[in-house]
Amino acid sequence: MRFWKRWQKDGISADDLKKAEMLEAYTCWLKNERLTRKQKRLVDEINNVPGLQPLKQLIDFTHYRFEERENVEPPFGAQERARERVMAEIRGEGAEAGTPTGDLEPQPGYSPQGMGNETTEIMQVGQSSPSTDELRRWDTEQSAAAPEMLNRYDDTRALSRLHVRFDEKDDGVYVTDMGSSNTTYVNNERVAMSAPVREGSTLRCGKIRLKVIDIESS
Amino acid sequence: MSPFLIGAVHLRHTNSLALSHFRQATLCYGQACYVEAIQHYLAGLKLGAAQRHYIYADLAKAYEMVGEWDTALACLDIALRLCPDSATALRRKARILNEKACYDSLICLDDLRQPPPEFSKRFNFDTTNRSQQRVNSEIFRLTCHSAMSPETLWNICQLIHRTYTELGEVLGYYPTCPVSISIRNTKGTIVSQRSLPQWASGRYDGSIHLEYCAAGDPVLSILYALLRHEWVHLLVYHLTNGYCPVWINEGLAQSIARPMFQFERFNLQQAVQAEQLLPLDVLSKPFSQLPTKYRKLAYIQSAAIIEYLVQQFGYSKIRDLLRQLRSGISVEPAIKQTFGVTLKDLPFLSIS
Repeated sequence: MRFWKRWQKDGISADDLKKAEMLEAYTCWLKNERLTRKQKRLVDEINNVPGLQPLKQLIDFTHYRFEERENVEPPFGAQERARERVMAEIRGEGAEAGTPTGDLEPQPGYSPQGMGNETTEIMQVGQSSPSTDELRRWDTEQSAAAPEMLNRYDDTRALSRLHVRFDEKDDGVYVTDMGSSNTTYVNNERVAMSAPVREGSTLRCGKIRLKVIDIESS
Repeated sequence: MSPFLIGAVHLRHTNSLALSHFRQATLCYGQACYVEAIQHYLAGLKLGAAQRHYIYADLAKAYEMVGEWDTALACLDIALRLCPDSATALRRKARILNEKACYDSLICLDDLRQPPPEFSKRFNFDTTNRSQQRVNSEIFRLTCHSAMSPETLWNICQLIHRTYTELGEVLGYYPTCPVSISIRNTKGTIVSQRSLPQWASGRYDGSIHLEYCAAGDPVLSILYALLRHEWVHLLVYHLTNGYCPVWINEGLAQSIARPMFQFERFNLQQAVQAEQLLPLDVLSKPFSQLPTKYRKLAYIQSAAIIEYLVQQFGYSKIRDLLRQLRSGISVEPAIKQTFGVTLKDLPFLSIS
């Protein structure tokens, strides 16, 4: 206790003193020593002080590696690495963010996909569905049962029934917006009335994007 | 050309087009491009073939993979209306209902508070890169796509905090440096351009990488389970200095991340009955190197072993086991010293 008091005289803050006492209490706890009521409280509090975690780890590390395991030979170079880590922590040169500090490189640990882990996959339409001839007999009417919420994936819904018109003029091809709800853009510029399109131009009609690959004059 | 013939040609054309959409949907599904698969299924259905139950059953599967369980269930109901005896649709419906209940039990959205006014002050937002959002805090450095809504981003930040606290308490360790976490939507990205293998949605390699596939924001409960899984890998790595057998590491991650699904228990039960449990040497290899059929069982089997240890001895003993492993003791004596049992005494573990 006198040791702490001398520190206090030398200008060590109360906060740092408390941290030191926490570490001392934690070391006593690891060694199975009898703890005072204050030390028990400090041991409970130590996990709430993020700044102390590296030092706590080091205490764990040295305790389990060297002190309590007399019959276990520490791995080659472990003492040197531990000493370096202690010195780095004291110098305030802790490991960089996210950098693993273990002895071994982390073996990547994967999460399997969380859904649909059944043994059978989807049916292969090409194999299990009817042939093209049988397809002719399919009912081409849109099923009334299709729920409305399916539509959010349907980009064509942003197209108007009459959306754009292409006109060939003497000086090239022009696109005209037919008063669509979601408008038309050529090369990211809104088409007010009509705009010229050239090879390489990009059209956006609602959510549908089109690229002009080739223009052939008729 | 007679009107009848025009109709027939048109019909043939639309059906062929529908078929090509369904084939394309199958291909997209096979490449884990679920959003694109859904778009093709819907495009095909729009052209016809609406009366085929298995199309709806497959569409449901694709919806399930993007976490849209309600829509998947609606599709399965259509499939069952068209074919009430469809074994596939019935099985999928039962599985999805169980899956949804498991994930719903993980988080209650009401628990997640609305972003406080000082949200932007508490976290340091980096908006210099237009395609990405970055959030920095004492605990994490999060990177995700700029299209993610602020509400979802705030909820994810809260879930990371929750994971830090809860799993820190369970395993007795709190990372001392901010953890790098990246979250990516794989929509529209082909398999070869992804950072994770097709079967995986998360990886810990010093940083945490999570992937999801959705038309919009991720499903929070699924993302939370993935985050917990990878966070356990992070804690185990730091607690053991990397000296942890794969099956203990994956078993802990899987059992802590989320409850086991019914169909997973069923698969395990089948493996036990058929005496097809994977031997210890297979479970000790990285699961990424196992063939698909073994990999699924490896995750389930490892989770079941750890679940048993937790139920019998509690997490304090698990923490002791990790400390033993950290000191370089091999797994067999570590288990003997910690639990007083041998590997042969553990259920779901086959020693060949």
